Amino acid sequence: MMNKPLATIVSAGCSKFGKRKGVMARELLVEAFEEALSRSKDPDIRGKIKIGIFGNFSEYFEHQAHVAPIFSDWLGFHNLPSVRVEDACASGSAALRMGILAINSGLYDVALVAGVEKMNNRTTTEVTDALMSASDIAVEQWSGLTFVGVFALMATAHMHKYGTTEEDLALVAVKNHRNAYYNPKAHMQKIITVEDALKSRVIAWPLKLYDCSLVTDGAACLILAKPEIARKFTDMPINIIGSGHANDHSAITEREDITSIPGIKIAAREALEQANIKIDDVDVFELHDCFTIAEIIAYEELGFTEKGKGGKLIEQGETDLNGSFPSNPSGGLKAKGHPVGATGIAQIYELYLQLRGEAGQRQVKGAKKGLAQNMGGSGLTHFVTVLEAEK
Amino acid sequence: MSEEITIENFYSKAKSGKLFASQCIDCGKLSLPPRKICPVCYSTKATWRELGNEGIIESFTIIHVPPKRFEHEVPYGVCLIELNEGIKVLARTTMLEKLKIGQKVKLKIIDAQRNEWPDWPYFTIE
Ligand SMILES: [Zn+2]
Repeated sequence: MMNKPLATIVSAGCSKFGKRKGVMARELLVEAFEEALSRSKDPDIRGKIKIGIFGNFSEYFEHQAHVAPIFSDWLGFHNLPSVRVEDACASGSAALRMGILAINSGLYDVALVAGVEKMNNRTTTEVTDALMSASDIAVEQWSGLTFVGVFALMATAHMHKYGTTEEDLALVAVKNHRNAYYNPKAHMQKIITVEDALKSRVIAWPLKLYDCSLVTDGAACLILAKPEIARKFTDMPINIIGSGHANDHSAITEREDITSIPGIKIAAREALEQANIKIDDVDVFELHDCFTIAEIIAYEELGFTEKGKGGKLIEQGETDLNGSFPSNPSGGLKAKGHPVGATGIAQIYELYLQLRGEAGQRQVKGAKKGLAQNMGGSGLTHFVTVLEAEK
Repeated sequence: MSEEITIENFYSKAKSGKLFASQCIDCGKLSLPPRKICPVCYSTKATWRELGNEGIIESFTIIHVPPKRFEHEVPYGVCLIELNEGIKVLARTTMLEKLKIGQKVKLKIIDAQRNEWPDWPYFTIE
């Protein structure tokens, strides 16, 4: 029996992802918001929005803290209560989660949730440092690890324990690049081969350049409403039917098994139980492929396959657009790009398109239910969201 | 050993060459860095416990694109070591030939000689 939706997505927008020289974070948000406004049936939807919740990771990139009131001001609101939420790479999903709480509590009828990051003002070293600030300074940062390095530790152990290969990792990149080729908003629309990926320069062995998500500028937003009033704004409502949120130990030294990211499983269980469905009932997935190994571990934690068989699953093509678990039709963080604070919202934007049948050549045929998995830091913060197109 | 259980105290002890974890008096759980509230039984009764320096490499990576602080050391390895006491620690090394899962190693502490916060020492292997 279906439960009442937690909240309904009545509109959505996403900026072009890429190296957006000459545009600031707030202007990327404007680009995303204009699309969301134009999609609404109610021309005055702006007037109905009573709260703005913004996911944004680092004030370092633009030397700009206190962003929420600036963002809502730039989006053309006057006196809109606004707040910024930060959970590293899961900041966008954290904003969504707060939006769900705002609507589901009954406090708000309509809410704007958005995510944004403008990263390309900084050099690679500066971005590496900024991202690393999302890991524990008392343990991981101090060891000389980078963010890629944390996931490289997982990859080395996974390869050793389960026979996962560097080719398996490369296949994740090849698939996600192939999907992004059909996504006009993707940062990189470029088909790559396994050989390209294997030949690319080492960042943190065994992970190479093509195992890593992109340093991207971008923004995305959603307008959420109470399910009862959703049809005032759209004829094709997308319902949020499950929302899971979990945390794990702060440092990877505390994790029992370095090849697992248990928080994914916990958040997924919560979301699927709320939605009252099983993983096999989901038609399309957006997964947190910050690094290729993360997507393989996500397959295992979400139950697409047994622990240790994630590499086999990609080899068999089961996560291709026409496979049993189509994953990252958008191109993922890998090729669509990873503007940290925007990612969680951009995943939902892709599912919104997929469930409305608007994803063009990367459309998963007949998709009615979608699941997004977004992770913060080295596997500390986890959000899983389940969506369904309203009949 | 009555010093307060804090991360700063952990690193200042480490600076003198000794590795101390915190240990929960109620359930025995070791924590590194040390912490007051036990993550297993939530007891707030913890004490310092000195650890040996022997362990095995559980996983490793070789960093080619480093954070600014370690730019002069690339390529360097970072390994996840499980100490004989069953607790894990991260260590950095330029002896890449030592990097093998299951490899027995000895942890070594070096003073980073820093004049600003954090003035914590680094962990490496011998
Ligand atoms: Zn205890």
